[in-house]
Amino acid sequence: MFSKVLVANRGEIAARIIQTLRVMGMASVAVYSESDATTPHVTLADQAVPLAGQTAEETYLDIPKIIQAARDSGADAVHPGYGFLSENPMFARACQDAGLTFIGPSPESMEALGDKLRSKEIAIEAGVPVVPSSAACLPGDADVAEFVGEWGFPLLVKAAAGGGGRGMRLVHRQDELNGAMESASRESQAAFGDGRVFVERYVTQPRHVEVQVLADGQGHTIHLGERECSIQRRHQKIVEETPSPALAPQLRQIMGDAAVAVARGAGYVNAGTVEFLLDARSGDYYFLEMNARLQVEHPITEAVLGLDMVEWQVRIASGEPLSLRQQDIDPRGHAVECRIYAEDPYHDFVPSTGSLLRWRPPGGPGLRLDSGVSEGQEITIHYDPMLAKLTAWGPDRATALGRMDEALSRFQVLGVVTNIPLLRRVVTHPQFRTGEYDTGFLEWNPAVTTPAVAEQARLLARAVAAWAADRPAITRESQPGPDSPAGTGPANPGPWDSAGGRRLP
Amino acid sequence: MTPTTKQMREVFPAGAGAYRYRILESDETFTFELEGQHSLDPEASISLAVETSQDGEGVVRTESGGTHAFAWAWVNAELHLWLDGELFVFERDEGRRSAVGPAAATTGDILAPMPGSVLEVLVREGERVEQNQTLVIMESMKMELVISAPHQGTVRRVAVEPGQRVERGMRLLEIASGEGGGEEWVLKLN
Repeated sequence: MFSKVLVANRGEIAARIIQTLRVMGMASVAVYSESDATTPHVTLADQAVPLAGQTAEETYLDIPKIIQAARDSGADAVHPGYGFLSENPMFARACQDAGLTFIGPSPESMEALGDKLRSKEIAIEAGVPVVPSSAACLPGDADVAEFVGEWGFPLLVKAAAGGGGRGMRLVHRQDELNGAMESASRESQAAFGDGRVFVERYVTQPRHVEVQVLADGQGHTIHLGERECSIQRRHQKIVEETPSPALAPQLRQIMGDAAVAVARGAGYVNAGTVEFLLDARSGDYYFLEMNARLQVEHPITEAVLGLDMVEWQVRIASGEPLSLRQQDIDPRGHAVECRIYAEDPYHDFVPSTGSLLRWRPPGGPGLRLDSGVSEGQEITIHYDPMLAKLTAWGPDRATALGRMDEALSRFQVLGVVTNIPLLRRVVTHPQFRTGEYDTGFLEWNPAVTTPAVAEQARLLARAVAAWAADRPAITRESQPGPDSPAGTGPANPGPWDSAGGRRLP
Repeated sequence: MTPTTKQMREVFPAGAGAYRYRILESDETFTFELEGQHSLDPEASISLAVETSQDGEGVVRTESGGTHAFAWAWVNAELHLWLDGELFVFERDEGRRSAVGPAAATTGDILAPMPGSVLEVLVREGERVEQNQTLVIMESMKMELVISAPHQGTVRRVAVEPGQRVERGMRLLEIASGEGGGEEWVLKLN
């Protein structure tokens, strides 16, 4: 086992990893950018090392700075979390070279799986079906025209090095293709330092189902069941649940075995996730990619299995054999996760920035919050707009979804706009409740992303606003912009100072 | 006490525009009346009792006995109200528009929907643009934002250049519209 582990990440996942390290009795080291100096992952860690700079490139993506921080702090292992450097083989190698254990797969399997095209070959060799796609190419290449000639539209443009929906574009017509490829290539270059893209047949109305795997260094590989991740916006998941309502026991077993076969084929060690597209009507499934890291939505797997995935990652990385056998994996009940994003659900999910003036997460039976923010914190443009993840467990699906909706209804956030109202509309939606939905759920149900306030509720809101407008409350002044004329805040009520009524008790 | 007429604008979630209202306040109740609607209209007036309030939060009780939790905070001139799990944002209307109802379009400014940096400007001053045509590509929070024309018109002014950092609400460019136009930016995410 390790004596001290550096967590090369920020936000909720860094805090969550540090919690497990504390439980396991290991010292933890946080790293942080200038704007993150007082965020939860920093305050929770035993030790914290500043990374000079503000942007992700200057801080959480800067390999030499992080290696130096690990050396200086005397850490013997590094946990990369997800995103940032978690699937960067150069980082895993840099850790090895510095004598640090990287808590994750080997750089070689990361390289193979990080390349979407090579990972497809691994799946084909393992006998797992894949979606047809072109070779890697640049905008305007002849390979693209050939693929389009064979498969037509719609198709997906994807980043060869991509993940998390970045660098992915859905293209319906020929005249959209070049622009989509250029934009995807640019985004991929910025996010992953690799501008290669490819085109892939678009499976219409698919479900996105993924299988969690765990593999130790002794060749023992098992799966931990599936997660249903079909509720997405901009190709990014926002609601996940397990078990998937789409899988009958037989298909669950087939896909679980397929995931294990892919992991074995890649020589994979540690926790990983095999993603599939599922055509629920036909039962056809296709390997999509394997994510060589801890997944954002891992808490729902933990909730139904009663285990700690980060603990297993640490144990496996330290060389311990995986003592769990496949027959030990016996999910109990149902779990759902909602990702709380600082974004406007009614206006194309534009990220929202500002000061988190109020942050009051709910508690209650079966609830778990993974949060990387605290009240008063600034939500900046530098990082992903995900604030927290709320997980609800119940003995059955209806209870889990009921707990989620009830909890979201009490989740008070002010200062930034969040997607909480959208999440509530999803988990209470009649179609979602039937379990029959696919990745097009938000497109097929535009009402979910359209503001619709009942007249009576609007009147109440206006009345309460009128009441609150004359009372002192938390205030935030920032640089006046064109939308915020100076001097009109509550400190200077101006024409409003007229009620003179009751004050707060 | 003589009720005073006040004016406010709802900016989120619906952007319903400006409205005028009056408040009648006694020791127990707080009555809110929308102006410009028939006084017998059940959607024009509501009476509340504010049960408790501390730390920027409270509970209101309506005449029907229903209770509703709420919390509020100011962000510059915006009043952010959390009410029963929903967020509402209001803005004080300083009499810029005197009439009730949606504000008339006055400019063709295309504003930055959020802070970030400009990656590309795809149009030039004097250029004619169609509705939904891509004008500017921005990057923010590691994502590309495609800013498209809300209506057809002519680019009167380009206010930014590639590489420039912009704040939310900053003018990116101005479009003169042949047909009245709108003041809202339209944003499309690829």
